[in-house]
Amino acid sequence: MTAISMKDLRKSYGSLEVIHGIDIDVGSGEFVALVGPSGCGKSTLLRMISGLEPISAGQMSFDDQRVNDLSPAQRQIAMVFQSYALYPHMSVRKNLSFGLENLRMDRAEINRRVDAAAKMLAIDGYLDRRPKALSGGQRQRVAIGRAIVRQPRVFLFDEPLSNLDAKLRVQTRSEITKLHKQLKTTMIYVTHDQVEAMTMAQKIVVLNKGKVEQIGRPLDLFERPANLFVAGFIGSPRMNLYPGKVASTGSDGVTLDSAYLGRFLVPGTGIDVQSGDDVIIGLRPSHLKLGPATPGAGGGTMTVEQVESMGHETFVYGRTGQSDELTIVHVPGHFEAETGSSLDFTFNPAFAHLFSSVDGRSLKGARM
Amino acid sequence: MSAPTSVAPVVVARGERIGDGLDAVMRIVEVPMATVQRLLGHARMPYVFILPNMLLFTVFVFVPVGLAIAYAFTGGTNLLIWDRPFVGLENFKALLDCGSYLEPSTCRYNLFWTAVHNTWWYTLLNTLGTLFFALVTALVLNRLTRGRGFFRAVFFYPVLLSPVVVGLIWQWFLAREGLLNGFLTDWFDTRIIFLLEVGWSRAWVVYVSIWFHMGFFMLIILAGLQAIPRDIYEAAEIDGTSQWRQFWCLTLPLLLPNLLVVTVLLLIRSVQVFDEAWVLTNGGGPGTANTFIVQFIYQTAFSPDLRLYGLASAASVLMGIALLVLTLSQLWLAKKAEV
Amino acid sequence: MIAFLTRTRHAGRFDLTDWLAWGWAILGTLVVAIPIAWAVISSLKTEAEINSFPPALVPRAAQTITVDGQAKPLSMWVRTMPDGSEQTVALLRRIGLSATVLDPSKPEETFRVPVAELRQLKEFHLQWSNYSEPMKQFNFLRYLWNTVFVTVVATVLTLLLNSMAAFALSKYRFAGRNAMFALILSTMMIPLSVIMVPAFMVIVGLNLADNLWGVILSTVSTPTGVFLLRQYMLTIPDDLIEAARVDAASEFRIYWRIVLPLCAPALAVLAIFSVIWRWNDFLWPLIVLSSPENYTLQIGLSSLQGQFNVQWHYILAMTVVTLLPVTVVFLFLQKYITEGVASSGVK
Repeated sequence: MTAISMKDLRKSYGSLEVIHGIDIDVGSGEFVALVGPSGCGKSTLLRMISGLEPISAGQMSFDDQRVNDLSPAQRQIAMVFQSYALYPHMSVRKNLSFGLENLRMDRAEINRRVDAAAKMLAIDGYLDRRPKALSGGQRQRVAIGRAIVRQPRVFLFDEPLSNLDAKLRVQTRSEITKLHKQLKTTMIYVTHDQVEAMTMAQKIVVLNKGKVEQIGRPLDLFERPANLFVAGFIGSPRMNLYPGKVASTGSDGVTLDSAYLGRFLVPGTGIDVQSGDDVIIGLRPSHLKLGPATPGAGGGTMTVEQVESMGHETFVYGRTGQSDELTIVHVPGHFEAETGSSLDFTFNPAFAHLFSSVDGRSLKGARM
Repeated sequence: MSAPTSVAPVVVARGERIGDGLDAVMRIVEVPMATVQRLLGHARMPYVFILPNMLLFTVFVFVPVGLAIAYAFTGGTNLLIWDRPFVGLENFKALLDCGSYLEPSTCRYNLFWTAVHNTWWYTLLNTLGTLFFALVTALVLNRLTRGRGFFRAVFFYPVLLSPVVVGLIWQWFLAREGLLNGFLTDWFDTRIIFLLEVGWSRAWVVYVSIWFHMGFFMLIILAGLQAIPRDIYEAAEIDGTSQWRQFWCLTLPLLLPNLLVVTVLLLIRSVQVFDEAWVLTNGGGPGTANTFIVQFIYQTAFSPDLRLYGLASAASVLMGIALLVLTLSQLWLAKKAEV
Repeated sequence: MIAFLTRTRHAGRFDLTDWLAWGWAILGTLVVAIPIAWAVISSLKTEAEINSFPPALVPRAAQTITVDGQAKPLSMWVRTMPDGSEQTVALLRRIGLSATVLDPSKPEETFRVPVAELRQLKEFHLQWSNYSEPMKQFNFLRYLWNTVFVTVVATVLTLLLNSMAAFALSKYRFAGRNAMFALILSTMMIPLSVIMVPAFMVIVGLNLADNLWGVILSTVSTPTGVFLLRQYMLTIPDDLIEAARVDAASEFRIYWRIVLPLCAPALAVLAIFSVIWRWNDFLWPLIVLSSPENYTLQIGLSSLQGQFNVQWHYILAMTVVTLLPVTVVFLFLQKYITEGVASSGVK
């Protein structure tokens, strides 16, 4: 159980800085997910934590011990690679024991740990096979097993599920969560898939362009995104965004005017706007309802372009006025609509998110 | 990259036990190397890995290159460079001192110029001959639908023989009592001592070289031929292009970059002719009819009664310059061929 | 008819150009095979046979017979008598133009006949002693041992050192990497023939003249080997190396346990080449080695030929011994060798 703290971490290649001062605290035994679009620096950050990538500036500590200049082995971390990186010329057993042999561990202890890990991951039937003779899911388990036997201070996962098919991915997701509950070791998990982050992590760090956009519990990020980026990144399908203007402010809330949604009052206090400000209004597809607007609620009309029904739920994509982006409405159950037909939709203004059209930050007092 | 899936677990396990055994042995190297890594840090390890190789290259290639130039400007018969007097351009002057470069007997070192002349003729004939036979053989093999692998192996086989073996095999074949003279006696009632007649021996030296090295160049040309996409010919056929035109307008131009590289490679190799000719002709005979530049350098430097290291090095430097020009043109051609 | 100049044909009819192609291939095969076959056949002939002319196509030896009352076996001859009938006789001795012979069935009666009436009887015979004799007589076992020593040690060192250099060049970033790679490749442009004099001086300076190690050390570093292995190592995923690093393996252990085993195919190709190069080396050992007990096969063989009395029956037998290992290697690994040459352009 190890707590990790990163203070103003930077990474540059020559004059090009790719990680611009990152501060993250990972509690002991916590499961943290690093998410962000590809190229956001999340893998680089993970490699800096592992010790594979030198740290250009800032400080990285494990339990208050500075580890900037320690090798991966000295940091006692274990890592599961995206490609699994199993040694193709070694049997599964050897793959698991190699790291322990490097530490000159006693042979009996090595066997004990390998057998225990193999049993736990249900790979004890394949110990004498080469990785090539295993299925994708089995390889994945071996990669995890190789990390487990080391009994590391920190587990690092670099997009470990991206090479699995959808069904296996769901299954492995819950297994990793179970593993964390069992081992209670600190885990840091990199993914570009926000569903993985939302379902597995206790804490999510959203990264973009080498900077932290928001850190928080999964539901916090969903309900109170700190800025437009997080709002757009977390949640699937994405949040609907509309331009709007502040008509007036008052003690009961803010009245907004939008070409697409009409005029409506967003209740709440501490909304950081002034009358006449340009804002961006964000609405999750699940917060939109089909039907005519009721007084006091916002609403609009869209021309249906596409309907995606999955049986138990349906997403309706439509164009609102001259908007560039399609409005997405989530309808529970099966729903059908003609392409080109007009549909009214409405929403409860209390669920509306407000963002500054200048810098994209949330105006509704989201927790950072 | 790794064993096929069919490898039985038992075999895998056994292989691993052997690996572990080797591992124990390697501890002898591993432990000091791990210590080195602790002392130097992991970032300096690549230098440790590359060091032995670079050291050997330095000692046996880079230093000699420098020394070759230094030797060329010194005289005397001492081997160690610090015992040798500086003579400036004297060695080069001596080598180049000639009444007429076309007539070796008018030169101060007529053996050198004889060698240059012999090498020149050899290079010309060997390059053209090898190119011709390699090209035709490659075209033939490319055309064969059956037996290609077999014939490719047969034609390549001589390349792997040693120059000494090749020289001896052919010396025996051409000997007074050899097979060829046996046939000549049977059919024409005559015997020719091929390797003791100037004209014949020169022709046979070229022939044996072609026999020896042709397979290598054939293989390169064949690879080039097989890289030509087949659909080009199909398109030409649909256009009604005759076979002749397909050869002249498609095959040859597409193969040209490959052929140019092969030609320069041949030139570079030919200039350095020594071993098989030396063995075949018993040291360059008859007389000096088959004495080539490398043999001149070797004899001038290492004959017990000569030991003219400076003169030999000057000749080396001159040959090195010629080779450098050829090599650079090869690199240039190879680069152009890639584009 | 020129169609055969253009391309691989479609299967189907067999026309004139096919005949020409097959003719060329078969003729070429004969041109390659006959001199080698002739050397192999001749290496099994007796000394007397090898010097007789015109040469026989099969190895033969004089037929002999042991006759009662004669200490040594006698050679068998056919006597063609003036009336045309033939008789088999054994030759006792020959003086000038007449010979003393006897009829093997009546060994007591000897008689004199003109030599012109006699024709020797020969039988198929393989003279294996051509192979065993030089082993005793010319120190050939010593040459063989020296060559095997040089070949094995140089190949092992080549694989080890070249793969280490290739590992550094392919799996690390470090200052001077590209410069060092360029330097190594540049040595391809410097043939031995240009630097043999100073290279020999270096050998003398290192006190390695007339020493097998002098032959070995200077050939261990090969630009071809470094290049070949580097290209192969570039295909090994970096993830594996990082995984090993996370697994607490030292850099040398990564090289030894991860990279080297994964390079096995490239190492095998280099090993084959290295064995053939070192086995066939001639000029450099010729310069470095001076005393016969240090000769390699190639030097020993060429020195035999320079001797006053050329004993071709021994030379040819030893030539066959010398070409045998390369031939065996080629027979088994033909595919790898030709593909290796075709793809990398090295020999």
